[in-house]
Amino acid sequence: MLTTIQAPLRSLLEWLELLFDKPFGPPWNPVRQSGTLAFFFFWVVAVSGVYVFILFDTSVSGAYSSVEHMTHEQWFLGGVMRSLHRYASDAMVLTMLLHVAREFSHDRYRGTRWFSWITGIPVVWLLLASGISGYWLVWDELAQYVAIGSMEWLDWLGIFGEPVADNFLTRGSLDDRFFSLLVFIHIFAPLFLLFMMWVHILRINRSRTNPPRGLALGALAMMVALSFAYPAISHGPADLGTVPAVLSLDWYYMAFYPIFDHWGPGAMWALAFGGSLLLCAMPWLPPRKEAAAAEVFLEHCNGCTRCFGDCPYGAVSMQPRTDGRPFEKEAIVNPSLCTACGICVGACPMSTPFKQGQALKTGIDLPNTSLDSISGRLSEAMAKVAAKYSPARPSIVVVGCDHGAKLRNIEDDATASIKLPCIGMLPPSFIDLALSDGRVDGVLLTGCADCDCHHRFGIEWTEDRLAGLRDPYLRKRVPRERLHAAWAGPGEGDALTHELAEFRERLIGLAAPVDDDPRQSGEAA
Amino acid sequence: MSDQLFSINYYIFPLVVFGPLFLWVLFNFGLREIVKIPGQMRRQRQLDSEAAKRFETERDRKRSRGPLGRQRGANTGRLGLFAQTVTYIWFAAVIGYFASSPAYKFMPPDTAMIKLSLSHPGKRKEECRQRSAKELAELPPNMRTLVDCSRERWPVHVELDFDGSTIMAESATPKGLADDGPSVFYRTFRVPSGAHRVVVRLREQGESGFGFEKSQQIDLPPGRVLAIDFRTDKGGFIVK
Repeated sequence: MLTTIQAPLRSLLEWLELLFDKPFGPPWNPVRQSGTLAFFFFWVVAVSGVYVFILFDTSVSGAYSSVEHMTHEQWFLGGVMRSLHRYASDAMVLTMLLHVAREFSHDRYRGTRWFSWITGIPVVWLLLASGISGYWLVWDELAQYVAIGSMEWLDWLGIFGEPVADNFLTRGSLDDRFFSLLVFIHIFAPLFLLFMMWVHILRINRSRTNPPRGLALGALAMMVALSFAYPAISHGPADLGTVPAVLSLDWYYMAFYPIFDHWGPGAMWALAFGGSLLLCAMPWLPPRKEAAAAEVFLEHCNGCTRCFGDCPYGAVSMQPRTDGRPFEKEAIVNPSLCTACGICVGACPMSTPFKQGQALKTGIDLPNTSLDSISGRLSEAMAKVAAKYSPARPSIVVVGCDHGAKLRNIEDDATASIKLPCIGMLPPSFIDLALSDGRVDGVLLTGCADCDCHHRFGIEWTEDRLAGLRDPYLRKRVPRERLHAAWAGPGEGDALTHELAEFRERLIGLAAPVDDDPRQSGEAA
Repeated sequence: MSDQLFSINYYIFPLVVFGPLFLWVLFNFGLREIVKIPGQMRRQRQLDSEAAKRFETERDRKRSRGPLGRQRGANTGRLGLFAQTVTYIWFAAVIGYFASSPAYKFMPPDTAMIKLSLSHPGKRKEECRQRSAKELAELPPNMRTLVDCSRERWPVHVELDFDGSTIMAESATPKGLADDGPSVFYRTFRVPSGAHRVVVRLREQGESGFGFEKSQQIDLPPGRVLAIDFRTDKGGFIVK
């Protein structure tokens, strides 16, 4: 049931991501950066808001004229700042919706990720409250409509002694004191919003809140250009003795108001509370069956802290040694934070297949997808392609992940594949083993789409390990020309096939991986 | 608001003149102490920053070599920047359009609005009673009020007739856990503009009869709001 909702949305978003990959490139893709862009637009709103507030008159009688003045008389600065303030807040809603849709469609809201989802709900509320309260302050016809609608909605709860909407009943009803309260709401709602945004990312290790500089500059330039080309303007001044007939609503914030007009406040509260409750319950509708959390094997752990440093979810922590071995610390896993991505396994220096012994043991491992089982699958894959070796078609083992392009479609006599929970689980020494063994001509690494790892850092850490920038390194003896990385999301199967074909073409031009190729002498068979 | 108040000079001139002075004072009386960073720490920060830069350069250099294949970084080519500009224009158009369009018709033409908003406590359900001297003596000193009143009040009932037909007939229970607060009404009605007769009645106790009633001929232009309030100190209903 859930998949039937997520799958089409995911397909649509992936199509959009691939579309924007072309002009921007994956690192600057605004769809992939929707979360960081929302943060960025918040700061644009905050900075422009400070300037607008300097020129703003906080009295009922002066508010409208002060906004009109900054819009028309000081259009080159005050007007642009006002427009930036409005459009950046609109863009924040847009990017936030995109971010929510992506996290939902990628199923990144259930299981251990419930915290970020739940704390995102007050962010939505506070963002709407911040935006709507801002529209009150212009004190034009739109402000009048929105303020009265908002107060009527609040009055329905019956928690106020007198209807708050009474403050807008007749001409002269609204006094400066109440208007100051509206100003305070517009200042404090964004402050709480910022606080909740901080809470929202609290449990995310190495959270990124800034978009890449190029994207930030482009987005800012777009906002400034829009502010000059299509400046934000006010409606006519508010008049509580009349009702505005036609309104230019800001649909990003006010889409609910026409529904309110037709359904009434009770239905709107039901929608708001029902919607929020549904959103709160979603991480458990149904609860995700998480794979068993990573397990630490102290007899193989030397407390090197690499798993601690690489875990994208902060699930690994270090504590003083408890087993008496001569190391300062030991790793400990918090199962409630662990997504069983296996990145810690890939980071462990003990995760090497070159050790002697029956079963492959490492310092930290996944119970359901142990390193030993991966080693076995890799051996099977190598044996499979070696068995049908043909010099005309170099053999390739593809190592992919559960969230990237489908690997079954690319398998043939010369291509075998194995899948990991995340490409970051692959210790570089496994690549070394595959290429030094002599039965495989090349190794192709793939995973999620570029810059969009499902487990956040799988691609980045893998690239750093291969480039010798992050422990554990890929040894220098490994022939780099026989290794290729092609990051491809589920919708990029064709691109992966193309990359594979290109890689094979390159391998044809290379000599055999080792001088004494076991396949030539028939050992592999 | 006078024009002088909104003059650019009004804001810019004091900022230019007093801004640096203010910053200088702030800096010399506190800020310097806060932002003062020990030389050793400053040097360490510089070294860290240089190391980070070297790492980034090295990272780019190493990543761009063989094993990672074709790197797909940000598209900063001329064609890429052009395509980004086109995309940004598209984004801006979406943001700008829905920021104020399409227009929403809140009120049909030739329509006005009646707002009835009142807050009035009904009469007490039981009459107040004078306490005897004996009763008063038995009470703690801080509770010796001469009159003993029950808290519960009658619901207030309000009816509104528009051109002879009743468009509202509602009772509101008193607010408060003991039903001792005011009864509150807030209703809005969209009505055709033009000349009409409005009759409004209020009952503050019992289940029949009305203690207050007002009938008024009104002329409502399109878009006009007619507010109906109730104040006992002003004689009952206020229609304006």
